Amino acid sequence: MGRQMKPGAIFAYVLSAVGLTAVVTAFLTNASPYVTVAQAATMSADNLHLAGDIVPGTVQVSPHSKRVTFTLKDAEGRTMPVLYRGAPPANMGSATKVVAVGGVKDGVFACEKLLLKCPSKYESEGGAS
Amino acid sequence: MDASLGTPAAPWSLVVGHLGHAAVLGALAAFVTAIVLAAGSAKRPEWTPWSGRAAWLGGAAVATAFACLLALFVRDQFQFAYVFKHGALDHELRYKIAGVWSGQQGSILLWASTTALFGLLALRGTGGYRRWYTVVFGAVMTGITSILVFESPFVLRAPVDGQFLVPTTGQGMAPSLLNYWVTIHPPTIFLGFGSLVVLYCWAMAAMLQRDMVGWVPGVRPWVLVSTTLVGLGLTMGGFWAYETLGWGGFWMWDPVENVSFVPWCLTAALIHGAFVQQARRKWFFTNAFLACMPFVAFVYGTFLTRSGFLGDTSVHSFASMDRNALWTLVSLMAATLFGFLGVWAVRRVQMRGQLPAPIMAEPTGLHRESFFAVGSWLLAAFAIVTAIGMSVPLIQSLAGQQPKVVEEQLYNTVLAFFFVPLVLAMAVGPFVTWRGLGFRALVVRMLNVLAVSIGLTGFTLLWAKGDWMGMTADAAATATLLLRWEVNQLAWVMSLTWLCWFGVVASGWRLAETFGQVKGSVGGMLTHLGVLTAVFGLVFSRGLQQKEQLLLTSHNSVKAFGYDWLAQGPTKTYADRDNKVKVLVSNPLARFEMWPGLYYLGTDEAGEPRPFIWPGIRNQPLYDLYLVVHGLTFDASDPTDMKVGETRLLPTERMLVTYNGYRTEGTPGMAGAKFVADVTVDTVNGRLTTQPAIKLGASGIEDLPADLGDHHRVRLVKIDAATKGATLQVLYKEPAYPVEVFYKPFTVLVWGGVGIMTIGGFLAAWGRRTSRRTPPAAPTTEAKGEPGAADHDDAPVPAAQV
Repeated sequence: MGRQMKPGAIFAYVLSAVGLTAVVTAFLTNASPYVTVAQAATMSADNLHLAGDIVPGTVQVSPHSKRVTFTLKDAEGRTMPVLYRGAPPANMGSATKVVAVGGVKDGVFACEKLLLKCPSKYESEGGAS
Repeated sequence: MDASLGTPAAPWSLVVGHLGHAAVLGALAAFVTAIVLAAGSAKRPEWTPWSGRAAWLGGAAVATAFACLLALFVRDQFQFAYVFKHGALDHELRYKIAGVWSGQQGSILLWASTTALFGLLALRGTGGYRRWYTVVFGAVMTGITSILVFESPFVLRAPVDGQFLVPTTGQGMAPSLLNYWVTIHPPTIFLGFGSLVVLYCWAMAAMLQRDMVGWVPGVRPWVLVSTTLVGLGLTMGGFWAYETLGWGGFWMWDPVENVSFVPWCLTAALIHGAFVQQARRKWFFTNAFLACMPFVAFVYGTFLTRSGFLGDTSVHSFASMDRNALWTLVSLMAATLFGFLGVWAVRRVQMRGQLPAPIMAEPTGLHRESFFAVGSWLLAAFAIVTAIGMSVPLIQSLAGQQPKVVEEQLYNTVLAFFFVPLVLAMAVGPFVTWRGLGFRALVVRMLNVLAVSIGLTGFTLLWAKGDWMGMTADAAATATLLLRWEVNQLAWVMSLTWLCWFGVVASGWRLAETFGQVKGSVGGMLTHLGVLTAVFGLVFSRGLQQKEQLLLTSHNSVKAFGYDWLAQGPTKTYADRDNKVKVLVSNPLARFEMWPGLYYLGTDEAGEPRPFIWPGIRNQPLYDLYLVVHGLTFDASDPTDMKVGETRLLPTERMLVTYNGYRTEGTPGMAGAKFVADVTVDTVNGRLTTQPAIKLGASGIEDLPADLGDHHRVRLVKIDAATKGATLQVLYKEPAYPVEVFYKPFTVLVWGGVGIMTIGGFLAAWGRRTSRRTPPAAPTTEAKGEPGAADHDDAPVPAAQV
């Protein structure tokens, strides 16, 4: 005859299963999508992650109005103007790529957060994929 | 031959390179031999010592490979592709040494070295588990050295005219890596990762040996060492990220960080599970699970960060791995995971009824075992949730869906559900006994702790809301919790602050109570105290951080956070990597200098200068000041369109600028034509009149700015002939620095907490080491769990007393 599980153990297993499902659901539904320029133009969310290269020569920084504008080119080669409100992120010039977090307004990708895609702690720039 | 391509490589360097490569192959052969000898020692016991020798030989070979690579870096042997990519002639010695592990192949060699080191150090004390321990350890090392065969750091660059040439210098490490932490952090964290193999091999050996009892006392000090080293390593990474801009501060739940955090949570859970097994003869297979999973989780994290599945969904770039090496890593991951799960599941069924009977102490009310259980499950839940979060890009990728990333805010809101009960368990758990304690008795026992923590929270709130030194927490700021629930940020941070104070005071109180009474408890309580102190610092520093953007000049101080800030110029040239910008910070009570770094790496494709910057950090007892210089500028204002007679205020420079019109000299449209603006500027020192101009020269428009007092110029950007208006801009004569100043309260607690945690961890490990040397305990005394504690109410109830 097999062992009978204690009610406490059953409760713990059920609670764990419910918790696990809740966590996976929370992560998958609330995670922020990475988009291309074409996708960004059709979406209204404000947590879009638009990754790409800064088109050389397009960066304009104004320390007085605290805004940075530049043109971003995605992996498909499409471009979009980006407006970032704030001081330019540190070491913007040495970043290999940038990730703008925000949404499209009037054809411009407006972002409050600008992440620099920097070399990994264990990988030099030359080898960054 | 073109001398600029380099000089012929010295024969010794080629020998060292070949030796390093041969050492990797030799290590692989030695570990395979160790597996065969250890497996065969069941029938041929005389093979047992030889299996150990083979394993040691493998370890020596890995160490040789490491030494060879180190020699190639120190002696600038850039004819090797890996040294060329990560080394440079002008790197200081410490960065040449750090070059060994700054890339993919070298970091895998470091992992192999530390894994071999810990695996072999533990081998001697494995006793009856030695045979299976050696088999599993040999298999793991075979996997890691196989990766190194494909991802070799000893590959030469292509020869020129049949000769291997040494270039004059290499590409060098990325600028962000040129920091002293690169010399300390990776070796420390990899020592922690290496130590995980001991837990894995010992647990596997216990299951294969069908002896689930005797392995726990032996492995306990190693668990403590692993937890301490991984914890120290990941907090060192946090310090590095704190000092490096763009890496998100202390912590941002990046996959690179999570790879360390998940094993740390699991080893911390195992520490508590081992207590329960020792005291109650329970959790035999749970502990085997907790011992194996940290290593498996680390291998999975290594796969995740090096496989390319993360793609763009991280702010870090990851090196792409050689395909054969990647498949070997996948095989290692699958073998360690499924090998463990298979043995675990089979033995669980086979050994049902064969394990020692649990010691049924029948405790009353709340008891220590239940808190160990809750704490362990919560720590495991932390690990599982984090692992799920970092796997979201992989899950999306495998499902063929749009890539997504779990952001820091989402991690924080989800993990808060586990964080709150975990801190409560850490605070309350040490106060309950193994025999059990009624709820009322527990409240009475902790009343002082509760009162002190509430009082300290009140003082903290007064301090945060007060106007001390011009720094007041923003009472209107909001924080977003799960389901986009907006709450007052100060209230939320203060709630967490009480929780942390409660934990810190409880740990300190219990430490004082048990000091000198219960042997071995000091290390554990210190560790709790350290972890809670560091968490307190993180919550407060991040939650109530404030920021101001300023423009610093050398002639006009600006106010922020109760201080006057004045730039004093560079310490070296802007091309020098060690250049700092000296900033004088003062108020009536204090005067000090800050030294944020700023230098230029040349220009980008568009000819724009590429600044590279480091923050200047002023560590103080109550708060850190964190100063970031964003390059330099001569612009005192943006270009501004003005009509004739219009006046504009320039508040940062305390100026009123009036445009009075312009006059034309020469023939408009012809070379030599000049447009001269008439500008009046009122300052606190009086009225100045100046006449900036633009001139049509043979090669285009010439800019002719006009002086305006000692520190400024005015520039005529353009004119509008139709309206007679003009665009004007005020410039500085000396460069100004756009800066961000951060005020980070209680950051010192993070550093202090980590220090306490580390000391506590090593103390606990040392205590377990000495207790392990005591003769094997009889079942009844073994159940005490904490030697010398039988007369204390902390002691587990021995079976004889039940």
